[in-house]
Amino acid sequence: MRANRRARARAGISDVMASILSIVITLIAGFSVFSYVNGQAAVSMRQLGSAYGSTVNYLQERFVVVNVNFSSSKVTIWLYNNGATTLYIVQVLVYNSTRSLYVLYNATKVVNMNNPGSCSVSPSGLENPLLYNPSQPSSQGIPVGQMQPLTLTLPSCLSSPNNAFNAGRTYTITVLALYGNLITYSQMR
Amino acid sequence: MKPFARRAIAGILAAIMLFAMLFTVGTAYFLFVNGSNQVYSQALSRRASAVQERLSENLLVNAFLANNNISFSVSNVGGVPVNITYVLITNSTGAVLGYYNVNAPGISPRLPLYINVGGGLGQVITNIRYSSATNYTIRLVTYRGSVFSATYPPTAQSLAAQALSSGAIGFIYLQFESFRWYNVTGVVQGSCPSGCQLQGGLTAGKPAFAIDHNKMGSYIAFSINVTNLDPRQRPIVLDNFSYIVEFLPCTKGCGNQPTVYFYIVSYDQSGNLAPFTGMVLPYNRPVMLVFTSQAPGTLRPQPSGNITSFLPAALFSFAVLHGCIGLSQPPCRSTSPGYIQYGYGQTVPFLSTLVY
Repeated sequence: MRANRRARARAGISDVMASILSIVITLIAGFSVFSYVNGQAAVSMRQLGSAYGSTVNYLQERFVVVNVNFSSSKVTIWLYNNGATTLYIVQVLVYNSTRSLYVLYNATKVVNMNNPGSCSVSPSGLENPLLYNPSQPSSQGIPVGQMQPLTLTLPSCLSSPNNAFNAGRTYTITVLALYGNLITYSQMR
Repeated sequence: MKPFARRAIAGILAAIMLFAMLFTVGTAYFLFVNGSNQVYSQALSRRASAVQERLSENLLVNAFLANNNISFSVSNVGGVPVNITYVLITNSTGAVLGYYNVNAPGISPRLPLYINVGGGLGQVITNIRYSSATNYTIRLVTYRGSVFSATYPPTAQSLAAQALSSGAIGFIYLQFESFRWYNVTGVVQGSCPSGCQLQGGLTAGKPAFAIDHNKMGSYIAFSINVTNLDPRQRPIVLDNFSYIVEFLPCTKGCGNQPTVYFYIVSYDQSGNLAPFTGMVLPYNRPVMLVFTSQAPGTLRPQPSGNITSFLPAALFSFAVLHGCIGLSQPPCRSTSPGYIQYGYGQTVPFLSTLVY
C-alpha cells in the first residue's frame, strides 16, 4: 500500500489529458494570433483605402478659371468644372504683386494675412456662394460640366489704399479645391 | 508492453490554422490592394487622357459684327472634335455682358456646338448689340475645359495675321508657285469651232514667271491655284469678269505698250476648255483657275503675239478676281438686291512674267 501511494505521488498526467491540453493551448494561441493579424490587416486596409481614395479624388478633380472680373471692392471668378467629380472650393487667396493686399477666404473666416489678429471676419456677406466647409458637408459644389461664378468681397477692416482693387494693378488669385488641386490666375484690373 | 503511439494532433491543428489565416486574411488583403491599385491606375489613365485630349483642342475664333450684333466664327484646327458648352462675352474690365450655356436663348445657333476636326461654323450670332465705346472679348469654353477667345474690334495683330493668311491681299490666297502657262491648241482663226485644249493637259503647264517666246505657240493660256481663306468660311463664286492682265509698264511715254487680257474659262480634267459658266471657291480648298479668253464669257484664246511685241520684257501680271461671296452656287448676277449685297472683288498685283 505504501508502494502504491508512492507510485501515485509520482504519476504524471495521462496521455489523453496531455493531448487535450496541447490541443486547447494550440487553439487558444492560434485564434489569438488570427484575431490579431485580422485586426492589423483591417487597420492597414482602412489606411490604404483612405490613401487610394484621396489620390483618386485628386485625379478626378479638375477645374479651370474662365474669367475674372474686378469691381472696386469685389472680384468675381468664373470657374468651370471639367473633372469627373463635383467641385468644392475650400480656399481662395487674393493678393497683389507686393502682397500689400493679401486676403484669404475660406468657409469659416476672411482674413487679412498681413494683420490676421485685427482683421479676421465672418465670411457671411463676403462670399457668394459660401466656400465649402469639410466639417459641414452640406454646401453645394459645382457639378461636372458646369460653370458658376464665385464673388468675393474685400472685408471692410482693410486699410486704404489696399481696401479696394485699383485700376492698372495686377492681382493674383489662387483657388484651392477640396482634394488638393490648385490654380493660380493673374489679371490686371 | 509497447506504449500506444499517438499522432501530433496539436501540430496539425496549428498548421491548419496557419493555412486558414493565409487564405482568409492574406488573400483578402491581397485582393483589396490589387483592386485599389486598379482603381488608382484607371483614374490616373483617365486623367492623363483627359489632359491630352484637352491639349489637342484648338479653335480659331474670329469676332465680327452681323446686323450690329456681336458674332463670331469658329474653326476646329485641332486634333479632336470639340463641344462648345459655354460662351461668355465680356468687356475690357472682365464684366460679363453675355452669358450663354446649353440651350440658352440669345445665341444662334444654340449651344452646345459640336465641331468636328477640320470643320467650323461661319457665323454664330449673339444678342449683344455693338457699342463703339466698348471692346468686347468673346470666350468659348469647351466641355474639356479649354478656353478660346477673340476680341472685337480685332486687334492689329489678329488683323495682320489674317492678312498674311490671305496672301496679304484679300480673302483669296494665290499660290504663287502654281502660276503656269500653256499653249492652246484647236484654235481656228481666233475661235474654237471644234473645241480648244491646253496642250499636254492640265499637268503640262510650265512656270509662267519667265517664258521663252520661241516655245510659245500661236495661242497661250495661264493657270494659277487659289484658296478661299475667308475667315467667316463663306464660299466665293467667281464670274466671267475675272482675268489676268499682262502689260508692259510705260518708260518713255506711253504709246503702244501692250495690255493683254486673259479672261477666265472653264475646263475639264483632260484640259478641254469651254466658255466660263461660273466657279465656286469653297472655303480652304485649293482650286485651279485657267485664263485665256480675249473677252469675258467667251472662248477666244489670246494670241501669244500680243505679249511679244517688246522683247525682252518683264510684264506686270495682275490677277483680277470678281464675283460674289456668301452664295453657294453660280451665277452671281441676279435681279434681286442680294447680288449687290454679296458682291466681291480682289486684285492681286504681285505676279510678273518675263517674256524673252
